Amino acid sequence: MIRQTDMRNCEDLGNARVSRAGFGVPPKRTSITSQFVLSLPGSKKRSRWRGRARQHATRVGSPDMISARDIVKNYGRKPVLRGISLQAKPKQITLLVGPNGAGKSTTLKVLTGLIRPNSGTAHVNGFDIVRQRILAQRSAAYLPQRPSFHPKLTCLEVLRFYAGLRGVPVSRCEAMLQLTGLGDVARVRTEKLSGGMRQLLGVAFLLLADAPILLLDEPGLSLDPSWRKWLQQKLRFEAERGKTILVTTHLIAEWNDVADRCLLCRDGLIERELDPKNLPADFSEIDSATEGQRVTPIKDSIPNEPYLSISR
Amino acid sequence: MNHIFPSVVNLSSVRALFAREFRAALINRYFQVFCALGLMGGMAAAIFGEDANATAVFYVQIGIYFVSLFALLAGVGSAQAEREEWQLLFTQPLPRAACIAGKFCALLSMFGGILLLMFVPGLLAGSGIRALSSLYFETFLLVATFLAFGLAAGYFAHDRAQGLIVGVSIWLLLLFGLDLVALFAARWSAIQNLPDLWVALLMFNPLDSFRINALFALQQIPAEAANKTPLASWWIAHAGVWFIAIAIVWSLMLVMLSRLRLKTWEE
Repeated sequence: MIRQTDMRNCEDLGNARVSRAGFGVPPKRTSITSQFVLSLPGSKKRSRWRGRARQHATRVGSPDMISARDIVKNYGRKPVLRGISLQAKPKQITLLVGPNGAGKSTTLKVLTGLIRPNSGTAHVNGFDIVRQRILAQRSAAYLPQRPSFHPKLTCLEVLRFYAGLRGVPVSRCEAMLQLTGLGDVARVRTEKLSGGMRQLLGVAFLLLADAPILLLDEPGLSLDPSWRKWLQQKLRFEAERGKTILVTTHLIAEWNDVADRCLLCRDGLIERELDPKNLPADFSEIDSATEGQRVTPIKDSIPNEPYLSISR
Repeated sequence: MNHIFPSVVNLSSVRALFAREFRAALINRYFQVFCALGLMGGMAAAIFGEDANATAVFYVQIGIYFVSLFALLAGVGSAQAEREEWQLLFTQPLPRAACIAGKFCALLSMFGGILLLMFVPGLLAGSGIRALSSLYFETFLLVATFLAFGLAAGYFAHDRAQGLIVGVSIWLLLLFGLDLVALFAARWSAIQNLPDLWVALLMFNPLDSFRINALFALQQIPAEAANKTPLASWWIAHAGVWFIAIAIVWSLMLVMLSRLRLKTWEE
């Protein structure tokens, strides 16, 4: 029931977005999700936070919010990124797809400032991610593949902590929990959450700061189909509000016709750009072209020994 | 200028870091047990101490064998709790050094409160306020040192078990290990002829430094052997100042080491 309400609210937001002039301009407070956009109870904090949101908004107009050039990253002697270059623009969802070990997650970790590249440059909202890491991190929010929180703290405490670090009003935490359907478990410790709920808490965390750049690493792997759909709608809405969204995923079919751009990453390089409206066909074409490199199916690798045969 | 030095460590961030550490400590069994044992130890010192001096010596023993170990374990546990959410934490616009400094200060202030709880029974039992407050301050510095040891061990370890093993090993090394090494080394006459080496070994060990300082100050032990070398006589004359200096240096060094570790975490 909560979920349906949230879905409806999300659609409400979607309808309202154009007329309400988009990023940085608070809409009327009518529902939880309209509160989610920018409504901030509390006087001083509210205005300070709005100021910060406007600051972000002024930068949204820059051509490439994310720009990486010739990024090389080695783990020990093993090269993971071999000179990756990519750009992502505002108001767009950019997909980064590719096989396991292609370097998608490492690319996101470089862009979030979690790891330093061996060479190459990356800019987030115009800030160098190595030299101006803090400023770059102010502009971005990141959802890792498996978000992990302090196990002994409750959902609300976790969000309040991150709200405090980002200077976001605390009241927004509860709104985020409501939005992601976690209102009922706000005071439950994160160690007691299921995998899906933890992922939803990760989504709440992602949206908490209303950052102009959203980076998502394999989002929705633990979510059920309806929540995955909801997340895509939410991201689409956020993109149309002016945000820059970069997503890595394996679920090619699900993201078909959702993204604006799709980059194929393989062996630590961007191999080519795929048609975002025809992803399954485009991807299977690539798959068949590289048939020889694929892993042998398990059933073919089992020897036909007598003890494996079934006697009738 | 703002561009180069962004005002990243604002009041809100500091408050968030402190609130989180306090909240995590409140529900942490280590801390609950430490509080209970600290209070009991303080009461035992007050009840069983025959005079003010005996009570103070009791507090010294509690500091060496109990407080130092708990501080170290609290540091390891806190660093390891962070390891679980490092991907979220370190993508926040906050220098990693601020995370460590915030954690260290928050934990230290909590220990400061608990130590107060421990020392109050002694004070109520009539021990001298001057001697006890000096001992409180020295125990507080001992906590800072071992907290920093714990944080460093926790950040360098790959998991909680490894962190605890490393932490307890460090504690045992400082408590007995170095003394045992010194005993074995005493077999060589060349080393026996260097008494300053022995003294230096004790001086740089924060636990020994705390012990010697406290015991010499409290019991006025005649330092006949110690006065045989210039280093030893200097140390005995300045034991208090030396302990403060060594505790601060150890704490800062270990916090900086943790910072270096965090800088290259997962790389």
